[in-house]
Amino acid sequence: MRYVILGARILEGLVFLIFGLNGLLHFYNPPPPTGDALTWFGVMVTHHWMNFVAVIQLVGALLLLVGRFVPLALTLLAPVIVNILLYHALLWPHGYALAILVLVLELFLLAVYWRSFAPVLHPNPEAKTPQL
Amino acid sequence: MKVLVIVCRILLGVVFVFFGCMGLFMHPSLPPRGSALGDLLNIMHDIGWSQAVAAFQVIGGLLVLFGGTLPFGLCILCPITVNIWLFHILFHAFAPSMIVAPIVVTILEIVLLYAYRGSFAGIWTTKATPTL
Repeated sequence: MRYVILGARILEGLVFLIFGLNGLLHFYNPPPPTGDALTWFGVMVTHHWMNFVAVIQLVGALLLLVGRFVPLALTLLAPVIVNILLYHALLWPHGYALAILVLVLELFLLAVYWRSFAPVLHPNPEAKTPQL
Repeated sequence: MKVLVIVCRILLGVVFVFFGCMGLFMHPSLPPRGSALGDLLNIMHDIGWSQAVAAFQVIGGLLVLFGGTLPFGLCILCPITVNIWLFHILFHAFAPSMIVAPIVVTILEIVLLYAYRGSFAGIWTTKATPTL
């Protein structure tokens, strides 16, 4: 199990490292979408929104690969994954295999690092910060 | 402190439920297609992305209003707030009427993140150990 967890961490880290670096350096240009998806993506790129997403992906990827602050990395990457899924669900229903893979890895890692996230769902959160 | 937290909670929850319901049920007057901003907003509205965000705003707002689920509500509202800021910064939307709500919401979230910091302590662990 240790090696499965390690593998999931490294794999998700590598995927986001590559996509984060690509978002900043553009060394690989995948075939562009068409129609509204292309227009939308163009606006997001020219207005540097994608640069911000790439930086978040890079930070999350590096933390995952190094193995420090793994829960923080998962917290940073979760909203990015939600938006990737929304993009594929609503705008561009092609080439989502990698998105599904990343979703599975993220959910698996959230489950095995659940001890870090359980307090977020504690039914009496006031008790978690007693001096409140 | 206790009163401050309750005031922040109610204010944050109401603001997001209100804006979420507006996004879900009211037809917004968007700038016409042709400009980057018009393209972006119209596409996001036509495909239902804006409505998805609005739904998350309502859910997050309600979770913040109900006491036991506040930290989880913040987990939903904080990434949305980051994206609201990205929108305002990248599209230079700094008119006072547009920027007041994001500033208020951000302050409320920071206060609540601090007040409930115990719930998020697990996320900030350097060396979290996976279970299973």
